[in-house]
Amino acid sequence: MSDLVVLATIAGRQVAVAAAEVQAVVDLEAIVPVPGAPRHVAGITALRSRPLTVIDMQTVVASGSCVRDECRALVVEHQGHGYALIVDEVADVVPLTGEPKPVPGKLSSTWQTLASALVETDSGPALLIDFRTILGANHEQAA
Amino acid sequence: MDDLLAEFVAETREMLQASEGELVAWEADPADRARLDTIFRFVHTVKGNCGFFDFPQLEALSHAAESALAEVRAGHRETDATLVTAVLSVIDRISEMVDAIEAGEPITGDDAKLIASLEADPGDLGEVAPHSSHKQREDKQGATPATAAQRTIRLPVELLDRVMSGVSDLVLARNDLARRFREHGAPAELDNPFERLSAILGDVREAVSRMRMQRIEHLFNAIPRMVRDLSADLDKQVMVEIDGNGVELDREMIELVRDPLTHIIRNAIGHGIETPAQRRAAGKREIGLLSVAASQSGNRITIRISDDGRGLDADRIASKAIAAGLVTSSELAAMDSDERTDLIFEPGLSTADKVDAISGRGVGLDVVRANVERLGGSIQVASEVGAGTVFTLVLPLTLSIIGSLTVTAAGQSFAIPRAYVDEIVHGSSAALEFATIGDASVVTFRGERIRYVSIRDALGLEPDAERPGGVVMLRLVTGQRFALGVERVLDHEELVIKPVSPEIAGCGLYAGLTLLEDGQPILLLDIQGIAAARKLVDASVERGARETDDDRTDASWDRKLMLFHTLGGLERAMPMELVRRIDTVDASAISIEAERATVVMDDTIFALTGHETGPLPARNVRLLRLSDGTSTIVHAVSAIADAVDITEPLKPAIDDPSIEGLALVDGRSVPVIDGHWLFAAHAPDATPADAPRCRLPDDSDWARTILAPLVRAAGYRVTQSHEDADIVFVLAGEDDGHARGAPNIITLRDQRLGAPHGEESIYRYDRNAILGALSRARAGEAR
Repeated sequence: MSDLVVLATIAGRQVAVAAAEVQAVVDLEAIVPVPGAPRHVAGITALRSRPLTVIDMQTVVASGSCVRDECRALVVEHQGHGYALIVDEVADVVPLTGEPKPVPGKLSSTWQTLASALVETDSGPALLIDFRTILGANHEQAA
Repeated sequence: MDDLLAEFVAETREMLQASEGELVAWEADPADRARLDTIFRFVHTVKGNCGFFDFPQLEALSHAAESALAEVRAGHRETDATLVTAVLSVIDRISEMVDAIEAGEPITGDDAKLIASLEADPGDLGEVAPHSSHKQREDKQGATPATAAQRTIRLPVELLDRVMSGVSDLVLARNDLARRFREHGAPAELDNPFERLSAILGDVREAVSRMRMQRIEHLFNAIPRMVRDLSADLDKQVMVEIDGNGVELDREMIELVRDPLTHIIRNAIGHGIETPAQRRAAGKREIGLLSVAASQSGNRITIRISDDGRGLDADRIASKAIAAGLVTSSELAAMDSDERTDLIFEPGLSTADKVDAISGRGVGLDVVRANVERLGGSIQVASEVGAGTVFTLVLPLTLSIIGSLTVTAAGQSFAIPRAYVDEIVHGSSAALEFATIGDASVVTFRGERIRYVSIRDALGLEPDAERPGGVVMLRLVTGQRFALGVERVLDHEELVIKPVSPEIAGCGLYAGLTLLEDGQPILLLDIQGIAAARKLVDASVERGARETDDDRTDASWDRKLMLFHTLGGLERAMPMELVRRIDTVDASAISIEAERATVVMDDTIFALTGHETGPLPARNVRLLRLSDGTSTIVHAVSAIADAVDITEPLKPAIDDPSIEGLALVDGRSVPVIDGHWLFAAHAPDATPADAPRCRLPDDSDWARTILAPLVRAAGYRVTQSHEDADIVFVLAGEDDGHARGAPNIITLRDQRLGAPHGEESIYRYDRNAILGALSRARAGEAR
């Protein structure tokens, strides 16, 4: 069970997040902006009266933003706080078809921060990402 | 470790904490049976519990203590300092053992010496028989209060928190439901169950809040022991008085207050209270008094820590502050002694000449203050040299529910903790004057210049050009103020505050977030953080500003006058509160005739005064626009000289109603214009909104063009309706029947002389008669 991953797209690239770490996949409607927050923080929202900090994943890895009127997000938890990670789209939950392998070579710095391994699925290779590296106090603002 | 053992450890710890205070109290008053009983019960319970487990050493130790105390209770032994010290050591040792048990380590060490120290001289040991019989009796006594006490269970705090947040969410869900009911119109049979749900939820919410509360005694219990140990180390004698007043505090708050409180008490004993010899020399009792008292008012808790020691030496603190570069000597000169005393909270100031074990721990009162302020509390100190020092800690009751003011800005809502809000002023209020100084804004409110920032600026958004819809006057815990401009002030609400993620907390602008009734999240502004981030307050500037304010309040007869020269060149003064603005118009806008003078500005005609004092200049005329709040008049002057503050009362001016009095300005006597006279003589009569309504005849050009202006000028309103008319004008011979039943009818005739048909009528160009009839009608109506 532990090798199920959620396949999603960030900035047009296929990524995988360990399914065990994703609490829900939701469509966000109202995002309340947080003036003065780092650029990748799109705002806050509430999911069933639980506040979530909304992170714009596209801003983390590339320029531009994937925040639209209605956007899809992965709900995760880190250090006791709930986060909604906005991605371009969520494709499927699939099992891994092989062992995770190290990423060949080196990626550009923003992707490198996120990347934890290269995984194979039936839908092709995907970058397994570790969102913890960009969340919380230990992360110096990417933008 | 199994559950039973964990429970034993937790229970023992709790009793340990409770009995420490009792022990010291018992030492102070050995005759106090209640204290002795508590301690006895503790060791007895420990001994009893040991029976379930295999802790022979612990059992032996508690047994020895129990025996010794039982002898005292039975009256076979006197309490003395040796015994108290021995019992205290035993309790410490029990505490050590409990730590070891919890850690799963074996209990090491030999207690033989400790047990021996408990034993009295051999003579007493012979009386074993009475001891045991007494013990049985005491057991019964000891057991009674225990069964009477409330039954308790132990819960992990985390579970409590989960319940608490669950209940908060329930409240939100209930509110959401209520909103949907309102929107869609719920069937009436749902009303009762819903009311019931709300009532139950209210009860549960209150109970859950109380679950998180702990008596402040939890915090205070450790104090007597700490004081005893510290004073023993320092060869001082300190008596401690504690009064918890049954105050309950959020358990989280209790943990957070522990360190600041400990620090202050250590300071009081280390530096405040003198040695017995010094106290004797100062003519005080040898035993110093430390008192710690808690009290609650509203949702704030006040903890006062006072000692009767040597007090804080404001001058010494001041010289240290200068040495440390915290203040300049000129700043210092401007401070009073309270402000100097407050310098002990500044970072980098320690009055301790030498570092010692008691207070030289590298932590200063600045850290204490910072910690207290982080909790939303405040700390103050008052001191008198030679008489003692009082520290006052003020804390919010709980961290999680905060009374808040909700406001809007930039299309979204924000919450402001109510504790900071001093006052809310409508943005269009005339009491507010905005000005820009350098790149900062200030607002003048009630004669005080307060740093102003719009919420947009504060949060780094695009600035808005418009005047704010509301200005919230904020007061920081240090007493410093600033004004925050918002678009709209919404409401006061009790909000359940949840923590924000590190990303958002990192901005330094938000203290938390909360969900409104509809589930929409809003951010709670960190007022202290915003003030610091935007550099809105500065300690030294604030000190200066406060002093001038004080001067102003002291001088209550203080008035502001505008000095000017009349057209004839005489110096006069106008009360500043009348002056709305200064205008310059071209002389052509002014029209002066025998009886009246007017000036046209902004397409409005204003009554003009001041023109009679001398010739008008050919071109530009300077004007003071004056207002009494309802009417506006304009005063022509030749030049405006200055604005001055006068502090002396005016000298009366004899025989000139236009002059309020004479002001002394730089050695000159300047007549001050009497605002009351000015407006009485020149302000146009305003037509009041409740003036009587007159109905004029229809289809009459004469009525429309000649009569209507006359009626209006006399201060009446003109209406076309029959229903709401107070006075009806009728042209003789043209009575249309509608007028009947009207309260007052005035009939006008065409002929100068003689009323036809014997009617009571008035010639239509007899101005005085018409006005007389109108005023009789008005007076009649008043009857």
